[in-house]
Amino acid sequence: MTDQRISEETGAVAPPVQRLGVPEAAPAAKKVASEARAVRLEALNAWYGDHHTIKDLTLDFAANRATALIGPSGSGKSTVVRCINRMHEELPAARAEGRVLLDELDLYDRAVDVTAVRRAIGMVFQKPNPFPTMSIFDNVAAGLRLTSRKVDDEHVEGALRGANLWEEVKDRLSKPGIGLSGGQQQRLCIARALAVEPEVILMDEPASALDPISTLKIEELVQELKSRVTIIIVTHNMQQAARVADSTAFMLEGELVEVGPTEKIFTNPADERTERYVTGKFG
Amino acid sequence: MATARLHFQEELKGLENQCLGALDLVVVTLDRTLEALDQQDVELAAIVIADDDRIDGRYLEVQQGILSLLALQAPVASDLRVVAALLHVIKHAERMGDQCVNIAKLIPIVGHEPPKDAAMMEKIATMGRLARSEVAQSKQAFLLRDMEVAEDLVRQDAQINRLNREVFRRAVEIGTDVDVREWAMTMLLVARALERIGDNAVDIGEQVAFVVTGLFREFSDASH
Amino acid sequence: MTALTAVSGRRRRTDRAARGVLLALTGVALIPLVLVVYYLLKRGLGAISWDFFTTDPTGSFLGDPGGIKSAILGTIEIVALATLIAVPVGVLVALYLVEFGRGKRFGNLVRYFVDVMTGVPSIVFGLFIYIVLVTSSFVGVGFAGWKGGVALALLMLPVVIRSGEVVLLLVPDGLREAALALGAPRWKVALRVVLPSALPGLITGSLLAIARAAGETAPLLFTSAYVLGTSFNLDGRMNSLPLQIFSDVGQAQDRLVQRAWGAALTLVALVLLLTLIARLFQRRNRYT
Repeated sequence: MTDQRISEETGAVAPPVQRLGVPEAAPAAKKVASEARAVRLEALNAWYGDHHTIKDLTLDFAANRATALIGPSGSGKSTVVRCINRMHEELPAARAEGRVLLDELDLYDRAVDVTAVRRAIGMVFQKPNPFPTMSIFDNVAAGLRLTSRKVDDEHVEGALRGANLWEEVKDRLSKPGIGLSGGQQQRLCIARALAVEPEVILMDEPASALDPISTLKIEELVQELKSRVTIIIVTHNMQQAARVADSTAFMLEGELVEVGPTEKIFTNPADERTERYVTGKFG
Repeated sequence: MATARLHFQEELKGLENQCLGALDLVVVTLDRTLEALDQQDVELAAIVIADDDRIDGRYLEVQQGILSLLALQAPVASDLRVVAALLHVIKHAERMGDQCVNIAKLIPIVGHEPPKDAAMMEKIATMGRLARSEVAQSKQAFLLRDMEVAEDLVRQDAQINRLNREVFRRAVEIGTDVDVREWAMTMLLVARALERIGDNAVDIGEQVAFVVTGLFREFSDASH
Repeated sequence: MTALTAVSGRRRRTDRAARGVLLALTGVALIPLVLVVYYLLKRGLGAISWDFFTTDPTGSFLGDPGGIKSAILGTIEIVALATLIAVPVGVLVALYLVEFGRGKRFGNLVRYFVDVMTGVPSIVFGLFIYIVLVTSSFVGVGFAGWKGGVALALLMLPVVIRSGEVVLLLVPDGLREAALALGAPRWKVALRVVLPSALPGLITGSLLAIARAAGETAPLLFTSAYVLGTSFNLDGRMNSLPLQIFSDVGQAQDRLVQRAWGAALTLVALVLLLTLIARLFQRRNRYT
C-alpha cells in the first residue's frame, strides 16, 4: 500500500520561525509536498470567565515542523492549543478573540464552520481516550464515521501504520480499544486523529501519563509525522521539548516571552525569564 | 525565586570552585618554578615536578564531576555553558601545570652553571611575572564573569609574546660560545613554556566570554 | 520511632460493640422483608399451578375461580406499551439535559419539573389520565389498556430521566472532547459516542423503572380498569396483576383471597426477575 501523503523533501527547508517583534528574513522555503499548513496566531486573547488567560498573543507555527509550547502551570499554553482548534469555546464560561490563521484562512471568521476547523486540525489529549465501546478498527474509523465520510480498510491501516501501531494490532482489529496498554492507547488516539487526514495535529502533553518507553515511542512518532503534518505540542517536560521540537515558544502568565529554534532556547535564550525557567530556577 | 534546584546549584558552584582552585594551584606551582629558576634550585624543581600530580588529580576530579552533572542534572542554557566552559578551563589549567613541569625539568640542565646573559634572564623574569599575573587574572575573570578583565588578558599576553620574540632574537645573537649557546637554547625553551602558559590564560578568558554571551570568539588568533 | 503497640482492649470492645449494633439494626431492617417473603410463599404457593397461569378468572363467586392468565398478559402488554413510550422519551430528555442543557436556564427548569414529577403520587397520574383521556371525548370515552400504559409511562418517565442523567454524567468528558476534536457535530457526539458508552447503565435504569411500574395499582384503576377475559385489544379494558390482586383480596371467598396471594407472588417474582436481569447486566458491563 502506498501512502501518497508521505512527503518528499527535495529542497533545503529552513525553519521559518519568526521571533516576536523581529521579522527574520526566512529564505523562501520550498513547499514540501504534503497537506501540512502553517498556523499563525494574531493578537489572540482568551478569557475564562473574568480571568484573562491569553494576552494579545502573536505567534507562528511553521508547516511541517514541530513546535513546542513550554511554560509553568497557568501560563496558558493548553488554552492556546484549544483556541487553535476552537475547543476552548466548548467551555461554558470561555471566550476568545483575535485571529487564528491556517495559511490565509481565519478560523474565527463567522463564515467558517467549527466542525470543519476540527477536521483540519486534529488533537491528541493528555489522557488517552479511545472510545470504550468500539473495537480498535472502529476507533480509528470513528473520526471518519462521525464526520460522515466513507471508511475503507486501507485508510484505517494507513492511519495505524502512521501511528506505528499496525504491527502490534493487525491481528486483533476487532478487539476493544481499551484492551490496549496506555502507550498503545495513546498511539491509537493518534491513529484516530491521523485517519481524518488533518493538516495540523495539536498534542496537549501527550506523553505525561505514559511510562518512559511509551513516551519515547510517541516522541519518535512525532519526528516521523512532522513530514506529513504540522505539529504543535504542549509539554511540561522540557527535555521532551528539547528532543522533539524544531522551535520552542516559552509562555508565562498568558504572554509569549520568547520563541526561537529549540537549540537556542536551551543553550542561549535571549530573555532572562526564559533562562530562569529552563534552568529550573522557577516554575 | 531561586529556591528550586538548590542542590544542583550548590553542586555546580562546588564544581566551579574546584576547577578555579586548580588555577590557584597553578599560580603556586608557577611561583615555585620561577623561584627555582631564579635560584637555580634543583630540589625545588624536583618538588614542582612531583607536585604536578595534584593538578592532574584535580583535573580528573573536575572531569568526573562534569560527567556526573551532565548525566544526572541535565543542565541547560547558562548552566550548560558553564559546565562546558569548566571542562575547557580545567584542561587549560592542567596544560599550564605541564608547562611548569617542562620548565622545572630544564632547571637541572643549567642549574649548576651561573646564568650567562643578564638581559635574557631579565626578560624571562618579566615573562614569568606576566604569566603569573595572567593566570591569577584569568581566574578572577571567570569567577566574576567579567568580560573586560578577560579581554585585558590579551594586552598582557601581547607583552609576553613580544618578550618571547626578543628572547629568540637574543638567543640568535648570543655569540659563538658553545656553552653560552646551549644555555641560551635552554632558556628559549623556558620562554616558550611561559608564553604557552599565557596563551592558556587567554583561552580561559575566551571561555568567560562564551559563558556570558553564549558565543565563542577567539580573542586573538594564534596566527598573529 | 513511634511504638507500634497492640490494639488496646478498650478499643477492641468498642469495635465489637459498634459492629454488634450495626448487625442488629440490619437485622431489624431485614425483618419486614423476610416476613413479606414468608407470607407470600406461605399464602401464595398454594394457589400456584399450571391452571393458575393458563386460565382466565371466571368471575364466579362460588364455582371455579379460574387463574390469572389475563392479568399476567395484561400486565405485560400495558407495561410494554409504557416502556415503549417512557424509555425513548426519557433517554432523549436525559441526553438533552446532560449534553445540551448543562448550566442553561431551560435545562435547569426541565430538571426541576422532572424532580417534581418524581414526587407526584401515582394515583394523581391515574386521575390525570382519567380526566384527560378516559372521560373526555378527546380520544374516545372509556377505559382502555393503552390509556393505562400512558399513565404508567408518566410514572416511569421521571425515573428514567433521573437515572439516565446520572449514568450519562458518568461518561468521562474526555470522550466528548475526543469526539468533538475529530470534528463531529454535537448531536452526533451525543448519539454515537455518549449514548453507546452509557447504554448498560441506561438499560439498568430502565429495567428498574419497569419493575416499579409493573407493580403500580392506582393508575390502572382509573385507566385500564378491571376485566376478566384475556384481551389483546389495547383499546379496550384490560386486566393486570395489581388490579387482579386488588379485586380478589377483599372478597369473602377463601379461594379468591388465595388467588390474590398467588398473583402477588407472581408479581413479586416478575419484578425480582427484572431486577436480577438488571443486576446481571450491570455486572457484565462494568464500564460505568
